[in-house]
Amino acid sequence: MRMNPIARSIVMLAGTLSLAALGLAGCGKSPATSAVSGGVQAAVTGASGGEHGSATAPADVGGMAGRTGELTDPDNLTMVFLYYDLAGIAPPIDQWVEEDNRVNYARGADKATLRKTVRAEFDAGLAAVHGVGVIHLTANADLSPYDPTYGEFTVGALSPGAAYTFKAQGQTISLKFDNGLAAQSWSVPKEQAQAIADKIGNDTLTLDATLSIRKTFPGSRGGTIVAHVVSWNLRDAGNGATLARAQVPAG
Amino acid sequence: MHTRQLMGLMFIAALVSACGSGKPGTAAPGRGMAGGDASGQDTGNATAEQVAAAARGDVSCPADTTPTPSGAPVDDIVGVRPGMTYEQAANTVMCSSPLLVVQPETGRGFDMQTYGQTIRQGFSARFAEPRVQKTGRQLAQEMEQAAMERGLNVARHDMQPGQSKWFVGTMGMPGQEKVISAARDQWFDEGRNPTIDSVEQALLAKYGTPTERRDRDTYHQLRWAHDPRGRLITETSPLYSRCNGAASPDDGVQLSADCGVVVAATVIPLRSNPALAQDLQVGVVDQAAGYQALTDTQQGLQAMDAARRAKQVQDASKNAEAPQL
Repeated sequence: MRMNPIARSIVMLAGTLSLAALGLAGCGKSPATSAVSGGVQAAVTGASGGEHGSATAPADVGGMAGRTGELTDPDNLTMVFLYYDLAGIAPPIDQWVEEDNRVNYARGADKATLRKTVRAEFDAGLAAVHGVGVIHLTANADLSPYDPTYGEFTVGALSPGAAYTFKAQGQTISLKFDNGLAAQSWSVPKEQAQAIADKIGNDTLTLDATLSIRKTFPGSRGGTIVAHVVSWNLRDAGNGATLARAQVPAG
Repeated sequence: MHTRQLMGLMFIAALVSACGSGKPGTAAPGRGMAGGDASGQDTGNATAEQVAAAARGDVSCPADTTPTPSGAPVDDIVGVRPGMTYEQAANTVMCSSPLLVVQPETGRGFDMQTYGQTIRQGFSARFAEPRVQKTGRQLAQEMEQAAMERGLNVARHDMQPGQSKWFVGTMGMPGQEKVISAARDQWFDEGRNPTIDSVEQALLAKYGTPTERRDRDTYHQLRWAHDPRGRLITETSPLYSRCNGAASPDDGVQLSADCGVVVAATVIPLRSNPALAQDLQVGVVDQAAGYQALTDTQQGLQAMDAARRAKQVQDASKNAEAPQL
């Protein structure tokens, strides 16, 4: 499932009221890299030479070490479960059970049985996310046009202002990145940029990103999960062809 | 799974009086009133200088300002820059003119949950006005005149030629607020208006090559936008149309983690001679830093409140009154 990045901005009103290189000479072959300046090194399919940018495992932040479980494109409810597990907060399961329509609208004689069924579902969901520390996220890449001034594309889906929200059980969980500035910049030499742009054409690009969870911030009716972008992959949303892979330097 | 666009938070500016520590380069608290106050202590006529002296408190001039780090974008407005403490900024503003008085302004600020805490979201500064005792007849005449001007849709200005006004936006935990934006409007004195060209050249000399400039009959705008790395945004950047600033102290600012320091300037020509400048408005905002400060403050206030509630629960377990059943 693909998600769309969300640009977050805050406005103060007056008055009373406020990423690595990609040589796209072909596809589906062994990766290579191109020069990088200030951004992320990307392995370019079909190019030759160079080495893959090295990725260093991020340091343990917020006591996340040991969380080796992985989630791929989690749904809203799973992210709510994950937030509670990460934050170490006991979820209000009794309340959730009573609010579940199956229980709420059941005949009195059936309520007890349905409570057990619904509770078992919540318990299973919570158990499934226990120990998860890695998320594989798929989103629209929101790739910018090439900027010749600084020799880079920008993966908008990974920008510092990007946030993804998940809503379930009356909770809103935001997923943000702590290294968006480095992760979003995809440095490409000018001599390769045109070939890449031609390759992309008008196609939509899909981003597959691997995120390492760093910390959580509680909020009212939910909270924020902050993750570190470890690596990403760009592919054509139409034919699935991989265009580039990148490891984001640890920061 | 689905996503939702997070709506930009809209805000209302709030302002606070400048509080000082008495340290060099900081402002001690004054009365914060630009035209006398309602305390009853200021009575009788007074000159603007007298009103300003009473309201400004201790001001240490020249202001203790730090130069822009080498390689970083020039980001100060007459010495006031993002990252300064509230007190440093207030002092620096008041050092720019002996008649300027810093004043709380509770009508502006970010609409955020403060959990009962008071945070200073910025301050405005204006020229002190003479205090003149008026008779009832004079007051009535003024009201009548004002009503007539409103009826005729006469343009009204909140300052006079030769004056300037400021708005400085700050954010942080209570007592630790720092500048995230600043804007100043300077209305040139009559007969001493500089040329539009000289003003623009001065701006270019200070802030460098602009990201964008717009020249219209009624205004000339320049913008220096930088990304969070401090790189000048050019027209080839995806951020070109996204990172905007606010030149006027009356305008709100936008904060985005994707944008860095943005300086905006507007030069307004004289109607009688468009080659001369009537007004110069210059504003700066550090969007990424401001966004982070706002986020950190919200989280800090929330944590503070959570700690308060936890302590109350803890205390309740020791000495709370038991219900009588």
